[in-house]
Amino acid sequence: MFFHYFKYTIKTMLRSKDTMFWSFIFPVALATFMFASFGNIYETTEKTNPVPVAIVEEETNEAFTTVLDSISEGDDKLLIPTSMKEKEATKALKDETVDGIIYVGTKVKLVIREESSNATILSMFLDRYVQTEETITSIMKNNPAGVPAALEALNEEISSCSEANKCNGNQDNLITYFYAVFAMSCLFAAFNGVDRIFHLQANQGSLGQRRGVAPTHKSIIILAEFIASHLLQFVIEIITFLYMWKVLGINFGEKILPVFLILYVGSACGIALGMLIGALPKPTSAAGKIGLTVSFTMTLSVMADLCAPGIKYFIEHNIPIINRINPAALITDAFYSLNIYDTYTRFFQNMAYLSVITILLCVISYIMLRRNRYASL
Amino acid sequence: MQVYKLFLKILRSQLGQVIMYICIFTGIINLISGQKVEEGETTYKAVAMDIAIVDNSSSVASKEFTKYVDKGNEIVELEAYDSETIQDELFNRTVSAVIVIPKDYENRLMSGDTKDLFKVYSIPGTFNSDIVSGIVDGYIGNLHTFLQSGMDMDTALSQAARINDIHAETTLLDNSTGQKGLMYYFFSYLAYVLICIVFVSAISILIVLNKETIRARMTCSSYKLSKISRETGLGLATIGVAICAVFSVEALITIGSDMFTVKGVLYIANMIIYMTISIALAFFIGQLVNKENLVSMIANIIGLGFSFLGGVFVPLEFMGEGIKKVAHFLPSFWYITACEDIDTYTASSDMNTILICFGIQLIFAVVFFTAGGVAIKAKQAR
Repeated sequence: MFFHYFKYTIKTMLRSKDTMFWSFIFPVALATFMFASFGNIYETTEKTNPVPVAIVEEETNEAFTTVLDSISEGDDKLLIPTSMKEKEATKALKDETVDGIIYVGTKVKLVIREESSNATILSMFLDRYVQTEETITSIMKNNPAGVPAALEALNEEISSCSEANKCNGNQDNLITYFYAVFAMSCLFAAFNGVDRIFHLQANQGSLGQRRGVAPTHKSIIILAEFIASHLLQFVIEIITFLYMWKVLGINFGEKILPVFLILYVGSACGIALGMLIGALPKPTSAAGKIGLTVSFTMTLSVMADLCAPGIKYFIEHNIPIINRINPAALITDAFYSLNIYDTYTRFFQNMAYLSVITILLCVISYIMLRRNRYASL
Repeated sequence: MQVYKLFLKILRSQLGQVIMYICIFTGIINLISGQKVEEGETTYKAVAMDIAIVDNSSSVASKEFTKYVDKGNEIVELEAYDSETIQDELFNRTVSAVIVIPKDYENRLMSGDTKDLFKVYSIPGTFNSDIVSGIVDGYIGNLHTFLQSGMDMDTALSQAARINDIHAETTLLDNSTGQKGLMYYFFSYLAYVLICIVFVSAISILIVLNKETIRARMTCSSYKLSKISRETGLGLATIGVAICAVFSVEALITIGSDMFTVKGVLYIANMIIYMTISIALAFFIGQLVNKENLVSMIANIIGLGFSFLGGVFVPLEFMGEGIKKVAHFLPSFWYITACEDIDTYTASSDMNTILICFGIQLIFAVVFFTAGGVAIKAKQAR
């Protein structure tokens, strides 16, 4: 009878449009929309690119021109300067073809369109130039003998920062949205769990009544349906992951195999959560239970950065216990630790918490469902 | 007005979901307004970095360095300075860089050994990392020059502090920092909520009205088809007017007297036009869908799709060129473009771009209403 229930659970799930939509189509669609809208953000807003700038020469300034040429050449050039007349430059700035206009004369001036990282780089470059000018002037005034040594020092390339961050993972923090999509997708397996338990209860319909009088032990039914639901949900998660990794090209870091463990345990947790909600005495109706499932799983997912980054971080620094019992937070943190850390300590910690929560949910559901008696049906 | 009364009766049963979306929107807007979105800033300020400093030197020179970094940036304290905590803080962007000042900082400065003086934890290849390097190299460069010219440490430090207060003249083109205000965020996020609210309310009602048995009873009755259509249209208009009224009042409460300006009026007009599109789309989809459980699926897919691709959640300037081209086919793109044009509107601005966006949105509404009419005719023919 185990395989009988197993087979028909798989068939029922595959024919349930609601389950297929929320478990599979919705996370895939959401990930696609997210990728379409902010897949490019890291490249456009965080990664450094040479800054296009218009140069309007009001007077000749050879010193500035020399400095400008030196930082506009080579593979690691800072600026892409283009000489223009003032009117042309203003139009280019308004059309966003350049990020600033440098007016070159005895004094250099900068005009920008808006506060931005590119504008900051331009203003920093000009600040460095005027400060260097002032440095030499000050030394010439106060200590003329030190000028040759000062000029030699100015010609040295200052590189006082040594990068100590050796992480090879994907540092784009918007990847947390995609982790949260997986967390939400795993927890949406709860719909299936609710459905399984709902149709097991004799007071919820004729199917539950027939199962109630069937000779098969309830534990066999629950186990068969749990394993079938888990298997199908796990396959759905793998397909979703492969779509996001290979088709959308999202960088999940270098460690891919352990991701399948996260999806396996996450799916089991989602189904166990649904079973518990299904076993609750209230709400009694299917719509009520679905409503409770949606609100609970969405709340857990939002707390794991589904809608905005930083919520999980805020909880971690104020009420960390919530992140230890929130399955969505554990799933996203497991993804994060695989991506960023060299060791697996934090990853296995998260998996351990998630497994304990899953087992606890299953045990509680079973205790609530066993030996149910009905006064009348 | 039997059909209209039925319309309102069914709408009452959907009020819970409508209120839920209004509350979610209110929560998001309160979060945004809590971050003090500033409008109307006219003086340029360089982007301020959040920098943590680990001072292993505790010398006069290192304290001066910390003072220098603190000017124009924010010095943050971390809970711990182990590599895991630093990595977490960098990833979450709560800190742009962590600078470690070595024990022999002063000695190395005096000897002129500035190469790799600081250990810096940042995300390489990013603006933040380059800006922090620029800040540090600029200061060390000036200090190094003063020291090499023969000055003693104290004089060099005070000269470097003086020099670093000198900045090149930087002005903004239109006396605007380009920062968007609360009004913009209020009305741009509204695009998602409007679609969701209209879909869960209007489509659910249309599903009931289009049920075969109910439709057959209405057709057999003395109610003319034109009267049924008129009252259904009135019901849809009621939804639109009611929701626009609610959000207009909310805008007044949240934003205040700025709503009584030309900008405020333009935003409200834009909202009303987008509401018209939402109702038209709901009217069209309501003719195609006959199951209640599909409503939520469709509302979420269309709402999120329009919002992500149209520039509601992510500014259009950050999206790829291919996506922007596709977005031109979405009404939400034109709604957001109108919002952006309204945000930069001044008395001397040309209103044509805004009116063009309004016009294109109205065309979308006409197309969806027409499609809905065609769907009805096709069903009747069957």
